[in-house]
Amino acid sequence: VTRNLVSVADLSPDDVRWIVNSALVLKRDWIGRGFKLPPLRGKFVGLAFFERSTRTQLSFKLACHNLSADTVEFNPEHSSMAKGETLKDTLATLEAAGLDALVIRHPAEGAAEYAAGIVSMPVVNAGDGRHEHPTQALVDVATLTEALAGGSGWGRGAGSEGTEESLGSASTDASLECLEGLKVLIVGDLARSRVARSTGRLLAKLGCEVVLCGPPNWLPADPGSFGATRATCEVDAELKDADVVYCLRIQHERRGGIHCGRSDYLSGWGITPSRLSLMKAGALIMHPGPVNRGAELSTAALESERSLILSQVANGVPTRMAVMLWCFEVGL
Amino acid sequence: LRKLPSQQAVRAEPGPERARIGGSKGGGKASSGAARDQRSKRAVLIGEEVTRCLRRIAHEILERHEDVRDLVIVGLREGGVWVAEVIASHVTSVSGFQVPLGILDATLYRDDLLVRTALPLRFSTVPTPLASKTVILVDDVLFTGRTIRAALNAICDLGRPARVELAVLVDRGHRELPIRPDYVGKNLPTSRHETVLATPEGVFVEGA
Repeated sequence: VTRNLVSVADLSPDDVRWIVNSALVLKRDWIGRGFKLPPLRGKFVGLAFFERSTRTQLSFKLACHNLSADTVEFNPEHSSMAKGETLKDTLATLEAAGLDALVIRHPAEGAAEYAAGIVSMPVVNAGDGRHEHPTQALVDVATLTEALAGGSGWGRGAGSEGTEESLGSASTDASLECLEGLKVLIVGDLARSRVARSTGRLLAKLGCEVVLCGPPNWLPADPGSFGATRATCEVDAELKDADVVYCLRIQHERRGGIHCGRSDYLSGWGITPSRLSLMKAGALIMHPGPVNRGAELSTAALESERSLILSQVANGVPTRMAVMLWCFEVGL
Repeated sequence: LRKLPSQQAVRAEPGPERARIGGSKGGGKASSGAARDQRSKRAVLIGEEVTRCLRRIAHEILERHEDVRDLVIVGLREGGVWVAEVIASHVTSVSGFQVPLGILDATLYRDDLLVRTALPLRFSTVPTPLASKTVILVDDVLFTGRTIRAALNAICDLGRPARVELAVLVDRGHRELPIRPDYVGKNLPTSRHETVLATPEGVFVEGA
């Protein structure tokens, strides 16, 4: 059996719970202590990024290295693809060369699924066009769970109740129940957003009510494929009872000719100081990054205590470590 | 599961139960399953006898270590946690010094990590720095020694203790690595196919 992470649909609630719990354990106890962890020693992970990426590629690389896997970067611009080799032949070549897993980002929707059909090693989708970005969705779920469960997650120190019951239950089940019934408002450049599609669907699967909001021509025709119950332009009305406001990046590079001014977007759809004060107590702000400061978010919103944006960044590496473990941990 | 050979463990506890039982092979919860009551089960230590064994271990630890301030007691998840808590509380009450107590989940160091499905990772709390400390690793049942190997590697990554010692409530034999305990509550000859359950209420051997 090969475990692939092509879409959030590949994940059962138990898988999500395992990955999120592992990510938070890794983050709290094992990362940044000056040593590598041993489990993926001897594994070679190919990083095939057919589209520009800094943070995702970096976090996959660090994740693999933290687990003692080696990474092999495959740069399509300097490869035989530039000489006309097809994607299919390139993938088959990478596997034949001895890779044990493949992380792929590609501008075409369905590229990761296509790759998973060609190679027999695990394939992780690091973003395929407008389709999906499942590891970002897991980062978001881990970040929300961590924030709602209170700082350090479910772990309790040795000095807590000290009973076998409390220590046992503290760590077995990452309680994703804290997500049930939350209203998550995803705001912005929706139709083109793979992050919204993956995060929305994953949050919906875990019991959140997902609502999409943005300029009329940026709203998708099929909110259901984002896990959303509806799509609306009424940002102020929807903001008031949202538990989480998830802002998307304006994707200038995928917008073609359509241009949207920074300040116009901020006043129309961004989180201005006045919208920040409309949000209910305890409501949180998220953004997959990189932020266009002054467009999707005002500085006040970006730096407010509601913002989980830096936690999302911090959870990128541990979550991808958990994903790589999940891919390789396939049983007998 | 940690005290069962892997192929047997898979047979013994299929499905999602595996992970839970695997993590708490000595926990009280593990013994409460209805399926377990069907199997033959004999008590090896009961109630007060468990406490007495652990109190003796605490005294032996204090006898061997003049300076209690260098001690760190670390219980191995899951079964070793309650054992470590009991030992640490005795060491503390006898010596009058609050000995630091840690919990270690060495799952990431297991040699069978990738051949098991979804072993749950749990939080650890190891008091650091470990340099110049004597770490007393504590587990409930010592079997193949593989868990201890994993724990030793984890401890050595976390710091460089002056010394590491091993205390177990039960040594059931069948070592697969050259590992021996420094403190043993009870030496218990077993067959490989039996399961040993260690709880604060007693130690039980279950036939296959």
